[in-house]
Amino acid sequence: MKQIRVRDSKGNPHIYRFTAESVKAMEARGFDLNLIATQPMTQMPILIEGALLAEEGANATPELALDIYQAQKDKQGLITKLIQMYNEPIDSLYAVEGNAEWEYTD
Amino acid sequence: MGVHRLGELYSFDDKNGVGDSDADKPTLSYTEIFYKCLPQYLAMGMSADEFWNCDPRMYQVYREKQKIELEKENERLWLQGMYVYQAILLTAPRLNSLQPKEPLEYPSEPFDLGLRKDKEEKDIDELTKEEIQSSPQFTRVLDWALRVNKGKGEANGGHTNN
Repeated sequence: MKQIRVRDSKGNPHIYRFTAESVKAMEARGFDLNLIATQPMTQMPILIEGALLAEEGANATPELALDIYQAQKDKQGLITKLIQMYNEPIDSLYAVEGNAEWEYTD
Repeated sequence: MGVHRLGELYSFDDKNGVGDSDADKPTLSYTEIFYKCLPQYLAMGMSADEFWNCDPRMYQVYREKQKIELEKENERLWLQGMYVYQAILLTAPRLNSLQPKEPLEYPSEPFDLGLRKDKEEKDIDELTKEEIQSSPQFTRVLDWALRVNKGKGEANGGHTNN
């Protein structure tokens, strides 16, 4: 399972991961991956809070999410990784190993 | 009128009209896709709770499981077909209108699928030396060997090769 281990400002460990349920909850809150570049102020808080949902459940509050996010050193890298992970449940639904091979020619 | 898809910028004419209808369709949200896939995974034996909260790799596991089940079911049906085919063959003599005969007897045991053979081989391996020596086959071979040796001994003037 793809997950990210993080620590909040007090050093407590937390885990970021996504399930179909957390993705559904995030979309119900208005999250749209396509809008993250154009509306970061509304989309980012949902992303960092939603990433906590699977592990923390009801304890995943906006305050905790913000605290964890602010404690991180590489914020841009973290967001990029979270976006990749957000797609994992939906990718896994359709992931089928193909047999076709591609070839690059110059 | 705007360009709906890149293909329209090319010189070829697309007479199929496949792209236009697709371009007008609204894209599905992830939640909608999940709900669309949910019945399929429920049919595979996944619980709704597992579907929503599981490790996403489990989707692949369930698809593999379904594939294996399908293969097993296919083999089972093929075997059933074999039994039906054999039953028809066994009743065929009766169906000969010019010279009807009694149908052949249906086998008292199921097909050997390789399982019984292994068991028999294993049984032979498990026989003890005493069991082999007390078997009628062994006694017959022993009698024959003694008779041959006796005959040879008489031919050599009473001297046997020991």
